[in-house]
Amino acid sequence: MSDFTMREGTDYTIRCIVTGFMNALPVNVSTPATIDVVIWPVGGNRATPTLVKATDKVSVTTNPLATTDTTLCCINIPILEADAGTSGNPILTAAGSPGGSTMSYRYEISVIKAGKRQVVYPLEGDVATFDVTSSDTWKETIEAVWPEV
Amino acid sequence: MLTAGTTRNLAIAIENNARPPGPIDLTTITDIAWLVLDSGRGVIQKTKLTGGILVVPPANAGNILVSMLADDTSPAFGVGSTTEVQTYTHEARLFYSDGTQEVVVTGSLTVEPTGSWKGEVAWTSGADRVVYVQGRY
Repeated sequence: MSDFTMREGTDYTIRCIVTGFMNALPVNVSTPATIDVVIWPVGGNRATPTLVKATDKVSVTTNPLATTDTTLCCINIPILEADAGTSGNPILTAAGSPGGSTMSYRYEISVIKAGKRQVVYPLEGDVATFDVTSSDTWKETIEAVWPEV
Repeated sequence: MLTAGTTRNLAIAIENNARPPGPIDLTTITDIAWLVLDSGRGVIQKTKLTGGILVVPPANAGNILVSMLADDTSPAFGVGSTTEVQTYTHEARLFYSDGTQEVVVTGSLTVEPTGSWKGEVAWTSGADRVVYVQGRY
């Protein structure tokens, strides 16, 4: 089962909350850590990835769910319009788009800290995937509703 | 606009990214969370299970009410300022029965120094969607 499904032409953010292997304590993955995210097609080769996002393309924040914790343990990985768009030269596409079906991609998030490289997600033995579905439109917009009651 | 010391309910309609957009059925949702974030750090958190969020019947219409209390926007509790306009982001997150969660609404909030509060919502369908995964180092 894929982690998420996104449509071409939309933004999506992967937030990876990093904790220790031996406990659930958050791990600081800010400087001097190096982060890279590798994305490649399911059935393809990791050595020839479709998309790589290095440290300068991701951000590190505190865990939004942990309101009192200040550890910079959350890796924010934006998948932008340019990455999965429906115009220009998108990198992540649905099969046979536009009007095509779905393309599945694998991804790995790695952290290099103090000389130690670790794939933090997925866990060893697991496979992390997401799907990109086709869209023949670009960035549709819906109206927000927030009246005061 | 909300004046400090008062309570206000905020109505949020959660919609999918279909064309035309339709409501997300909240009937089988495990939990709903609403967060106010300051540079990525959560400063206000409300959930359906712990209180502060009510699903407006019928649940398949995708409407929720978030109860903002006076203390939520009090500088004494770390939100807002007595002298400066403070800007935050907010997000609504759905928790599904299979353990996954997804941010379905994002926007910005402005807290004015007078203690009054106003919210602005601006998002695009399918944009600003977020998935959380658990990593280990």
